[in-house]
Amino acid sequence: MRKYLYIGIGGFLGAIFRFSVKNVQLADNIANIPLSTLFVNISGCFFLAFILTAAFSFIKLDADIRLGLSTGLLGAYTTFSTLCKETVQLLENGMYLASFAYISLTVLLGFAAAYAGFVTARVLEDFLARRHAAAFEIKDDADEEAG
Amino acid sequence: MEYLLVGVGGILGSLARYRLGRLVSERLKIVFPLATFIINVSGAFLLGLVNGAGLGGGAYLMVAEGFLGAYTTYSTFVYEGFSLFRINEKANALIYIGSSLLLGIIGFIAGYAVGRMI
Repeated sequence: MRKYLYIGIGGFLGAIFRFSVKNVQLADNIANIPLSTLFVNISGCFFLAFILTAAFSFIKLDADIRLGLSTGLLGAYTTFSTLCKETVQLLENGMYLASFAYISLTVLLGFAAAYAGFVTARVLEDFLARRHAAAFEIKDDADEEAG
Repeated sequence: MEYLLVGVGGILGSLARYRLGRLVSERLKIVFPLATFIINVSGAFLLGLVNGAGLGGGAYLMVAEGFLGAYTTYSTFVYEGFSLFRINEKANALIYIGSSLLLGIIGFIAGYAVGRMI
């Protein structure tokens, strides 16, 4: 039951974050490509890959909290339906090149971001493992000196 | 108030995605991520429907921006595609990505046409 609470909270926040990015509109759309959805989807891909990779290795994340972050927060933050809507709108207006570029950028950058999130989690895992090992060595040395 | 409507839609959308996803994946033990595929294509169809029907105001914020935005997901879609590539299921990955996008776009257009008739 607790997982539904976490997914719901995540979904609430994720949808609001997405809506906020849309309302802020940091930059004008370049070449008619809807930048806010592009930004939301790409950043979401990075964080999802990072969290899921990290959650199964070095971060001891509670299963329900993981669901809240992945299925709830990031699932709701990113959107597929708006991507389809915006592509159709570009097609309707005869902007075939822009619609093709929009889909291509969303897919290519989404996969690149997921890969980057995956690699970041792995690098961090490696770094933490080394620091952990180093901490043990120092402790061993100290024990020897004390002994 | 706008944000609250979007947020409430987001709660319902993500819970619907989770429940439907579990329902599909528990019954089908296949490599192809059919659950997310069904969710995304149906969500695109429904977004077309509410746009075609001319839903506006607070109802649109809650149903389209909130519910359908959260019901469909891009991050899981990419993560599943990425995972398929990692286990060397390249053909499945490409079919998954291509068919989701193609049917999502067609779904939106079809939903829009149906919505116009309502």
